[in-house]
Amino acid sequence: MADAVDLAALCRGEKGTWDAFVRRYAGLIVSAVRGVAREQAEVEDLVQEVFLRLCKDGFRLMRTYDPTRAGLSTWLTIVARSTARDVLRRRQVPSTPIDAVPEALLAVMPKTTERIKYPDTLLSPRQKLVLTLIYEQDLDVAEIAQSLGVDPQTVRSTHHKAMLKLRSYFAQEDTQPAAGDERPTNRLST
Amino acid sequence: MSGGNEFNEAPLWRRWREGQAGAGDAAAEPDALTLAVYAEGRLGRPGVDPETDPAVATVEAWMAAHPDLLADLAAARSAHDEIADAAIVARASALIARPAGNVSALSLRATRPVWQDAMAWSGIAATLLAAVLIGFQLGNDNVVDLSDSNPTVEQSALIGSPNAFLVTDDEDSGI
Repeated sequence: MADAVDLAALCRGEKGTWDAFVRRYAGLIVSAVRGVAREQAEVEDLVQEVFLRLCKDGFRLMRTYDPTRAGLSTWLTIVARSTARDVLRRRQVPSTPIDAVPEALLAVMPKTTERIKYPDTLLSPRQKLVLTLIYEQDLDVAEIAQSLGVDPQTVRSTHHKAMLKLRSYFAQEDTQPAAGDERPTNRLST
Repeated sequence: MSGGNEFNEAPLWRRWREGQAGAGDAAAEPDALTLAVYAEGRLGRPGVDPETDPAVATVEAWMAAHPDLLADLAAARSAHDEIADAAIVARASALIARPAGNVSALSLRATRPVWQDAMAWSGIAATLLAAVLIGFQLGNDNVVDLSDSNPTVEQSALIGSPNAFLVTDDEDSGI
């Protein structure tokens, strides 16, 4: 997919370049937005919102794109889906009249803060991500590998190492007396 | 979907997860370009294990807290075109207006030779200078003439006395 576009002319707001850009990438943005839209009828508006976001404030967003770091199609797809999600989220305004809401639901609840019991650094971000995808998103190894752009064996290895850490941590925790808030320290390095 | 089939450590993960409520909320949201670089597998320094690279870790920490966004990466990797409606293209094209007609007039003005501008401004300046000089000369001549000779009655009446305004007529003094 050729990504050639005169970014400098585009960011100067040259009409001809903008028209060519729209003709070239409208299909890509339609495709990206379609995966987020709830209804087909929303697609046209969402595509317009994406183009609007690209050009508003003197092409401020467009100027953040660096062609030496990522392909324009990749970047546009991420921008398009993110914009579409933002727009749909903004449109989800509560439509129930406040009088129709039971008073108990409007009561201010005392703020409760959940306590993080385990050290956040025990698992690496990748290990947390892999475990989240396996156990919460129910993805299989091939899907995770594709999503992360890694080998399937890397996913299995990441899962294995993470589980070793968790087993070791909980084994220490379970053998310690319950008194106090002392938590075992993780001694695994990987 | 065979996540539950291949791996059976879900209770361990759930136990960990319950103790991690709220963790990851503070993860910094990566910008679109960083996500795009990550999607293309180009994030991080060459030769550094991606799992320990801070840039990669930042993205993966965010993704762990927002796993639904993983679909964005998958979509970005498999980005493909559709046929866009002509109406969509026309509407988006209209976001940037065509240049107005007076822009071409401005461009013609800009292409005029510099010497023509210089001549025009020089002419205006010369005219103003001449008017000032002539006016000064005429005024100066009048002052010299009046000081060199005794003013006649007509001249006095013409020029007037400095105190003329202070002199009041008898009929006015009664007011």
